[in-house]
Amino acid sequence: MAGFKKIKIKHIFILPTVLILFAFGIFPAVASLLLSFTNFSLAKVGEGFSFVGLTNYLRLFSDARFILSMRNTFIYVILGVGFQYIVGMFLAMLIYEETKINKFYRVVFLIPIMLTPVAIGYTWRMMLHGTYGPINHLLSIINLPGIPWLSSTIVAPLTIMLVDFWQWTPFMILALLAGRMSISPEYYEAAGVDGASKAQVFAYITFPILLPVSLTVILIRAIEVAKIVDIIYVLTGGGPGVSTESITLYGYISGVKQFNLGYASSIAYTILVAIMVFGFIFLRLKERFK
Amino acid sequence: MKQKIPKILSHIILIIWLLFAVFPLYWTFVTSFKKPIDVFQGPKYFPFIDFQPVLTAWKNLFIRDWAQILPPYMNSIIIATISAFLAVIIGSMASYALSRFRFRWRFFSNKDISFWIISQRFFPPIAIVIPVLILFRVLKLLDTRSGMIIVYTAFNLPFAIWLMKDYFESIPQDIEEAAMVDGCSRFQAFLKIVIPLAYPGLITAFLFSFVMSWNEFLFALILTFQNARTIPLIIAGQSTQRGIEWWNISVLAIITILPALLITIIIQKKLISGLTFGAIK
Amino acid sequence: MKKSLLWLLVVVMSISMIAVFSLAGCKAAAEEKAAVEEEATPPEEEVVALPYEGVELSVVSTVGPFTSGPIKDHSPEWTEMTGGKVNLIEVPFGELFEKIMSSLIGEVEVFDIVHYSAAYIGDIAGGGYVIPLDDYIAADERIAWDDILPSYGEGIAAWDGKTYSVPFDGDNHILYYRSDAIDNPEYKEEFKKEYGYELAPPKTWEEYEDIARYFNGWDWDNDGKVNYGTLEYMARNAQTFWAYFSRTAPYVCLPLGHEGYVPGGLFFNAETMEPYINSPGHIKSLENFIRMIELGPPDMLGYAASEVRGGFVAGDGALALDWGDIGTMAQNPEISVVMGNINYSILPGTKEVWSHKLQEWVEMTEVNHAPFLAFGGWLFSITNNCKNPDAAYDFLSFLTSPDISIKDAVTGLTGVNPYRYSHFENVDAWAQYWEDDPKLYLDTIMETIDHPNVQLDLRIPGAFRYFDALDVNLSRALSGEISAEQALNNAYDEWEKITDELDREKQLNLYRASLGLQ
Repeated sequence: MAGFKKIKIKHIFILPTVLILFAFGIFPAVASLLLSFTNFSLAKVGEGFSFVGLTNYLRLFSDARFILSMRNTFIYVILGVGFQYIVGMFLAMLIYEETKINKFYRVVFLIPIMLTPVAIGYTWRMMLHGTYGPINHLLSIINLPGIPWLSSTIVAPLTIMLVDFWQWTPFMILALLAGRMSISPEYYEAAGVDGASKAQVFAYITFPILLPVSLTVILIRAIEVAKIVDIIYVLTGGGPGVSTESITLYGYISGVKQFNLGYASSIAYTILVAIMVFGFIFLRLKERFK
Repeated sequence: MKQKIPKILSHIILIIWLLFAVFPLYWTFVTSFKKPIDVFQGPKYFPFIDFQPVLTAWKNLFIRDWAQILPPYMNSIIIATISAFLAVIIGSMASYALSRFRFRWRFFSNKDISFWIISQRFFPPIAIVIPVLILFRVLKLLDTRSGMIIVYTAFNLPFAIWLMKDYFESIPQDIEEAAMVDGCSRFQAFLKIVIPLAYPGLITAFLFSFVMSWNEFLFALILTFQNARTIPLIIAGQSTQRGIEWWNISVLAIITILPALLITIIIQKKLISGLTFGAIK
Repeated sequence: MKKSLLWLLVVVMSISMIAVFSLAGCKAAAEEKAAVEEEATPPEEEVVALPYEGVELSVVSTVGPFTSGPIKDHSPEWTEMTGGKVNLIEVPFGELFEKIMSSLIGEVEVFDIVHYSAAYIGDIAGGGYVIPLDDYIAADERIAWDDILPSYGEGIAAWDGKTYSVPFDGDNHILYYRSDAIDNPEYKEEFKKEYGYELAPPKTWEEYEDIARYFNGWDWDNDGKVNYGTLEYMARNAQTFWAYFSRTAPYVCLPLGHEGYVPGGLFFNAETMEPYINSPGHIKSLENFIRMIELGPPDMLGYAASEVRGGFVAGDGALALDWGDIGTMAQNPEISVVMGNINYSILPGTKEVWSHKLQEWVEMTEVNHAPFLAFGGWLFSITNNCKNPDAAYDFLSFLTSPDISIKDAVTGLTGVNPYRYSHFENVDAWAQYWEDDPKLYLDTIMETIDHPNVQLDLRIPGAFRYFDALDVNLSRALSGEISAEQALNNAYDEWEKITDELDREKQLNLYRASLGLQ
């Protein structure tokens, strides 16, 4: 109780933030958890709802669609982010020098980052269209077969990753670039004397120094991709089949389209826990490399 | 000579990436000047060479459909502006407090509070939106601009705080302490001395929050119906029965990404530290 | 110095942006309102009090021009006549049902009039959210209720013995084919050599497959572009499941009077509410549907209304199944190249029909047709929330009256297909817009609706949920993720779950009622 007597100006400064984050952080987290143990449904508001224990969670395990959307999301995170990181690292190494043209590249490269994803989704859908789109047309000019970008269960998830790759690889480039530019030149001078090759310099100097930065950007992107929904909504709507459906999209469909908020909460909570576990492991990893 | 080849190669790669990065925008731009027939007869690449550009789609949007587009566009502007503004005001107070005072509550210290704040950003929105949906139904905030402003303020707050904390930490405490000796209160010192010094940080945080709210989709999809619909929803709703009118969608996409594009270029230097919560400088 | 100037600029810009936008927002909204009101106010000289002066009706519909276009087009005239104002709210089709339902349940947004697919009537009228209109209709001459085809007026628009809605559109699938392909003597000869029978409009789905195969992948209309055999609805979250039911109906619906006949063979057992959805007939039809993937454009798995219709009138395909829309779109010279080369027929049938009752395949001597009234058309209902139902009914009566609705029926891009006798009889009205003879088209639609073995769409509460569960599984089967049988078994399980959740007894009674079995 002593704390309450000593309300100081510092508490007033931080109070609004704490209140808001309580209302939109802790309250939803607890409420979601509680809801996930009920059969609350918007279709039957009048009839009330009851606690159903672990039913929703047990149902998750036998729900093929949940498992598939979980798998898809996992693929987006691992493959998508991994590829973004590799390409981002490669390109960052090409433009780290402070030249005029590199400065130009940096500005242009970052353009996709902040553009509205749904608008971007349409732009890509237009470009990848089988008959009217330029991409397959350009492929046919160089005698390559058209690719079923959005209509094959194998290619469509890759297409989703392609769009995310287009939008977010620049983030990797710029973040790793910032890391590379902050490395003191002394490290490289020593290597130059020893006559090390470029690949050796990268493997023994640049990469280890950038490792903590790399883990941070990978973690940030992985968490973002784990929540992916808008691009999928516009590009494929989750189809064909459920081959591109992400876990957030499935949560939306079961909660809002099928009115089953209890079940949707259990889906949401599973994502929350998965992200937390993933984040925790990553942060631990990062501590070790620091 | 040996040096030249990798150099040329690297430029080729960079130019390919450049085309890859810019082509979708180019394509949207040229499509907005096409007639339906120019779209449906297979891809046409260059205005005046491949096809005659027309303003039909632009007229459709600004004249025929304007009454439908304007309200959501205004919603987006109002919601994004006000929520970004609130996030900056509330966030600046919190980040100031975190950079100047020591908090201690049980085992909770400044570092833990900061971590708690930032961890909010990692919450999957789908887990948050369902309880908020129920809460808003009770409070009658569904489909209102005020409701969306509140949600987006909360959504942007962690971002804004992390961005601004850096700035506050870089301002020497001596200046405000001197002012307080001269009789300013802590709050006055904050308003009159610290805020003006930190304004570049506040602006960055504002613009960041603006773009984040502007682009947000899932909350808007679930929490709005008609009155508070924002522009991403209008775009997402374009592929329905009428078929996809690519030329019209292109115009809509252009006016949607334009504010974000301009802001991205303005804040380009701060972009990375903002997106990584300052973990990389 | 330069840097701080830049920042100053940014500050000024953003502050003025906030100020201007928030002011402009209010101002623009106010101005817009004022402008609309100005427009809406009739000229001063007619001081005759208009009956619904000051009334504002909110109508929720889907994004136009299809379907909601006519509301927009005709409401100014109604405003002039009555003084009432119509506020149209357009929602993407994929979200229309949730929006309507959550507004009806949660009182979020109060709509006066809801515009919806006939499949939702079980949820909307069955849920008691809309008012019965029988008294209005009985007292109203303008709406000419007897002019509406009974399938729509007495069938689809009614729920539990009362009329809860006003039809706005008549919906059923018909077959479209390119006469320049199928009637070409050269192709006829070649086709006969290859398949051993005469090339003609397909009578069965097996023939449909042969013809699609024959015409797929080459330029048979000599325009320099490759053509395809068939254009099919296959996208998820679109109209695919309706196309599937249209294909399936003849496989599982024996004509009335046959010893193996059961009512409602497409959906559920009318005694137990057990789904028929994974019967051998359903599976065979889905397998046939899956084979179509090879016989159309390479990205057909993503095809929905816009691609099927747009593609057919652009000359891409030889065969297609669609609502009335291709017919009217094909006559629009801005988008169509198939004028003069398009013909129509009732949907194919099959000679082998699965009997749910006998649990065996029945060989028919005649081809079994079972036209499916897919979607059942768009309906209007007036919600309980409506403060001025008289005005709302007046608007609906005006909008769907024979004189107004014929204009929408004959032009493309309105989404309105004929649903009144007068629409079929008034051939001259069609002829103004049609280069080809509209008679063939109208006769085909009439033959479909009038068919003795016509099948109604599912119209019980939760119809949308059943469809959605099926839709995902169809998409998975079409894309090769799972087999046809597996997909329909999944749908069976999910349908059972939904039925249990919604109360089996209640659902069974409503299903029987919807088949007219009580």
